[in-house]
Amino acid sequence: MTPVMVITMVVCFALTISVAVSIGLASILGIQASNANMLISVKEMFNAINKFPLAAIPFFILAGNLMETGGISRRLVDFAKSLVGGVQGGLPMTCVLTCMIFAAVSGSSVATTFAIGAILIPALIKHGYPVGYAAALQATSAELGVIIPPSIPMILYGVSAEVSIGELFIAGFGPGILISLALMAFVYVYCKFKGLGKNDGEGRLSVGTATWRAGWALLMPVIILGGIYGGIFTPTEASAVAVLYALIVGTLIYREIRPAELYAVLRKSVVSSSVIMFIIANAGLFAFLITRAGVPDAIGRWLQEVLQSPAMFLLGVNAALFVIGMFIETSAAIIVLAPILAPVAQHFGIDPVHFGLVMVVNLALGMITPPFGVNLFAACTVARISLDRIVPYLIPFVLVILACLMVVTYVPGISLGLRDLVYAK
Amino acid sequence: MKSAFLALDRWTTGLAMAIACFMLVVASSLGVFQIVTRFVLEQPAEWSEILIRISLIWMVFMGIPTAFRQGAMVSVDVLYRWSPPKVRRVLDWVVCLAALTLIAVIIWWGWDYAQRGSVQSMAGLESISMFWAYVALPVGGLFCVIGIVANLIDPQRNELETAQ
Repeated sequence: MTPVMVITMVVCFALTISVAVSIGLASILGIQASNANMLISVKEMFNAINKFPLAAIPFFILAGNLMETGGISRRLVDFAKSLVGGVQGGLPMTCVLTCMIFAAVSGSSVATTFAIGAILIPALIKHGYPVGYAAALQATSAELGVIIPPSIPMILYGVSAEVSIGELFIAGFGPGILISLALMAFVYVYCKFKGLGKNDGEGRLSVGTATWRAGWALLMPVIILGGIYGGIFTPTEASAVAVLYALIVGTLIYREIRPAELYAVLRKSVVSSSVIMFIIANAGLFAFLITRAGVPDAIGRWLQEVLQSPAMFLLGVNAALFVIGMFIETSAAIIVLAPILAPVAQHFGIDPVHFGLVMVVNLALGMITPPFGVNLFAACTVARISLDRIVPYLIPFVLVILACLMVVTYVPGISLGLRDLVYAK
Repeated sequence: MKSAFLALDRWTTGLAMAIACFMLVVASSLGVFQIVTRFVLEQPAEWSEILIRISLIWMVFMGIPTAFRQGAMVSVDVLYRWSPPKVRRVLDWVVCLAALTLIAVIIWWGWDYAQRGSVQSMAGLESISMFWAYVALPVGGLFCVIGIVANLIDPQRNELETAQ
């Protein structure tokens, strides 16, 4: 039954059938093949999305869209530019820093690519950067969207592997800051070396003015994350607070959202959320079926036999997720793989929160590796270029992220340090 | 015929979308309400959590008709990009039939499941039967059929505008 399901899924993917439908069809065939009752299909789809923590996904998507329409992107770019934009190569560094801050408002990296890329890719081109470089930089920096909390993949990992979402969120800061610093160092050296971006410092606001203008936007992550770690509300409640805050800032304070635009924001959020929740429903059914067939246990035992040390296990996971991330959508990969891999990780004595971060950072890399890399597609759309023009510039960025992934994987302290500090027993 | 069907689709998919948006508004308002009851009244309402879950499930199944209609479902479209127009048309048909198969299962068995659920009541909200939660699947499925067929007659591909 399991081979039938996996083969069906892969064939469907290849035929450009959408991820959700491919996984759903594979599951239906699996139920048929094992002569089980087809009622399982709808029952498990329903159960997969009938979980309260998942409510954070549509709420964070809505809050992010409200903030974006409310004029936050422009203000955050000005703020980041006032901080790091003054040196040679300051503009690409601004891009990395803006994505990092925007990530603390948004749980998605494609949304980050569109919001920030729409402003910074044209600016980078105007300052003489090759268009492929600008797009590669934007696609890579936007990965931070899922690594810095709030993060949709972390919510999914938390739900599938039964790990605290609050702990996962705080563990995301270390890896997020590490990747931001590495990317900024890389673009700085690259620009010095290639002689790019000598006039990047033009048209900067003073730090004071920029901070003042971006103040309400900057306060949002403080309220959300402060609320979670101050023990005031749960991550799910925090997402509802985020919606309310974004609505108030966008309509009453910045006054950039007109009432007529609200319906457009709602529609966009509904479509994004339903697409991802429909993937979750189908992937949940798929995961239920393979779990019932005992596949995770079998794979787990096999992994424990073949890879005898934690280090070997992590290396195997890194390699497998790197390849899987090239072809499979992040949320589906997490829902199906987290219940399989997290118990094995625990058997090897790896902290489940640390392992969650490894999975998220690893699969985030898949967002910028062709052929299926959502960030690449988004960045190419914003820059109006084809995929092949981005690839030569992309390779060094992929290497930087790979290096960071290795550090995150083998130095648990980067993820767990802050978590242990906050959640000290 | 074609334009009449597309007009029907605009109406039904638009209606489903309006319901989905309403459900998202309801869910977010309840989310805020829940925090208020917990802090201000110091008495969390028991029924708000289940209502949030149910309204979001309705949102999902009323939202996917639009996702199907606009070609917004995430897919690995390498083959599509590399194919000549004739092959693309074949792929459009394959994608349409695949989606219809899955949706047919959701409608048929979803209705069956909803009927069985009518004897269950919602935990925390005993006066309402689970029928009203489960029935989101077949109802959403019916709206999807129209959206899927409409996307075959008048293809749109807007994956990235809404991807996460």
